[in-house]
Amino acid sequence: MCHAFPAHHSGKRLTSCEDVPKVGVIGLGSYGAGDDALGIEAAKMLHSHVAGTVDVRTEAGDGINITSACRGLDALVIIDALKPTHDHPPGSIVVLSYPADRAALALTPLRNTHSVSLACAIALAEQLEILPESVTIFGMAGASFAPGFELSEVVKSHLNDLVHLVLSHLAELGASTNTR
Amino acid sequence: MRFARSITADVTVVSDQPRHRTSPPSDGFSKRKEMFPGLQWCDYCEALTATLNLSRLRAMTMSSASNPETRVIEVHNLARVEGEGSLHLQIRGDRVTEVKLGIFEPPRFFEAFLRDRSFEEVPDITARICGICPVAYQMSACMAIETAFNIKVDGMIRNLRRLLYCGEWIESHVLHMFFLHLPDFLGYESAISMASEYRDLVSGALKLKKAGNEILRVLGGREVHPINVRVGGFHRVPGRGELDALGEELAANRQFLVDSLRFLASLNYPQLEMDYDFVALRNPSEVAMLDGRIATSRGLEIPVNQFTDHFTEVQVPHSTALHGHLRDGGTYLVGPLARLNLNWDIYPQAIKGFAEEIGFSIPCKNQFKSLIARGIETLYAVDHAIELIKSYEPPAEPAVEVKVRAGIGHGCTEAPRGILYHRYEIGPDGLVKSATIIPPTAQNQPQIEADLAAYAPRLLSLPQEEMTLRCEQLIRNYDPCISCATHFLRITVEKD
Repeated sequence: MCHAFPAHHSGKRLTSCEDVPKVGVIGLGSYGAGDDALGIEAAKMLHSHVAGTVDVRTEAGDGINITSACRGLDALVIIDALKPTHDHPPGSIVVLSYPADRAALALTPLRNTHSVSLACAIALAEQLEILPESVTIFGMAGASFAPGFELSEVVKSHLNDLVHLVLSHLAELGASTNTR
Repeated sequence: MRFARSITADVTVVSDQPRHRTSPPSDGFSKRKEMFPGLQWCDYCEALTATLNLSRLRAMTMSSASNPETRVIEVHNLARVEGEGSLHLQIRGDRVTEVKLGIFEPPRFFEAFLRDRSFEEVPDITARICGICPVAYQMSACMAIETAFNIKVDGMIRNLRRLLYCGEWIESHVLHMFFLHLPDFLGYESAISMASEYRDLVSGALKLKKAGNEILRVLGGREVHPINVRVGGFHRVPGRGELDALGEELAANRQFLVDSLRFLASLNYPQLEMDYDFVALRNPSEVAMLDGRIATSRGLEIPVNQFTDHFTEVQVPHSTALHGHLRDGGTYLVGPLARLNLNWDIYPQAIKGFAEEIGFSIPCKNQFKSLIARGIETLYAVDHAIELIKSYEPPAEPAVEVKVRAGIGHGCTEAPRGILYHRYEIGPDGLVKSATIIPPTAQNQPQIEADLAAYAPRLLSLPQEEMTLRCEQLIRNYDPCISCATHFLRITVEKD
């Protein structure tokens, strides 16, 4: 497993021990386009570990929903697929935090104006002052995004790593998890 | 509700001052300045929008031609429109000599790869043409194929289709009104830069859009490219009570819409009245969404299957999308303003009264006021959706029986941007033999160019940058969806 960027989360708890932070996890992607579904699959796997304590949802379409989902959260975790590069082969995990990695996030693919991108959704939430104190994006490079295919074997084999990385992050945030 | 700031006097119809408001720079701004030191940043926008602006700033050329009497406006990448388009405008003296709304989005060949597919696949395939109006594609496809099969869908299934369409009108209109179009009127580069000062407005719009999306999710199976629509009806229909939450969410957001419409009506609108030939569906018994006759403001009223007898498409060199014209060569306008002008008598009295109260009257021939027209339609969609939800009784079957037969069917429904025409020839085996799809943006292209030709001469006293922005704003009046418009390019290969 290759961590292209070190995780920026420093183990800082967002609230006192008495208060459990309100954390939201959004898995992005859609089925039917190969590894594009990895965010959704990871979110489903996470759900069994954090059910009842962390709001885990999936988002297949409109990025504006990400902005809306920010309201009332102390921490937001996004899981999404990345296109592979020479430095980030399929299965690589990249961790970005906002605003520290704002510039890198701005390089995410430009989507059309009718479907707001992740970066744009986060920026809008920031302007509306509803962006959670902690925003972390976990990305995994996919192998294939061809229509009509399921997750690639390489992504399947690394999905548990991704989920455990997110669970560690949630634990550091102070969210209650069951790391069975 | 009072929004953060009411419209201010410095946002005027014609101003010699640059319109973009500037926001205080931040770390992100400084970082981008370091990355791209040669750029003059006209506004602080976040993350992706910065990328968007960057490409736009690089692409925009505001030059004067060698002849000092000639002004040329070039916008190589239009912002805040869906898809890839450009504008070329040449003015000699006070006369527009050339106007080209260029569309260079690659063709998508949807009509070609529908051939030899089963009719059952058509709603799902055509939904992929557009991420913001997939329901329109599904509905036009279903209506056309059902006509070919001589199937009649009515009752609660039809009501559910209208409800689904209401959801699409709401989410699409709200996106364009508040996030793509309104920044023009308030002098902002984008909705993001507008959001800090108009927080209530943007937050409210987000909630309202979500309510529309939610209808698509519940009825369509998901918000984008719904998967629950089929020829004859739906794969599954909701049970009693499953829609109640939708109704509550719509009702909770209605007051925001009313307040925001009052605000929108108070804005200053450029005075550009055009003698449009409005074209829309008309159904004497209801506000037309799914069916009706195609009517024009010049008095034509035809059944949908005569569409191509009166309307045609032509290819132009500067666009990968065909241009829609009347057979006599005239341009025409489809979309919210056309719909309201042709169907105002059908609208509920409460909405007409509210429109009068905010100073919006029909006839309205100012396409800049399509911003208000979209708002009025959104209000109708919210009210109508609530009514449909209240009266909903689950049908015995989710779809009517489909018996395949060979035939030709035409369908035309009111997509958020205007009439969307489909025609299919189906073989006895249920396979598509031919498909024709004519989306609203393709039909509006010539009218956009005509509007620009009429508007540009009025802007000659403005600085070039301001003039360019005004022309872009005019294009955004149409909420053009270029991706929709470029799926049908006809390619002719000439060989020696």
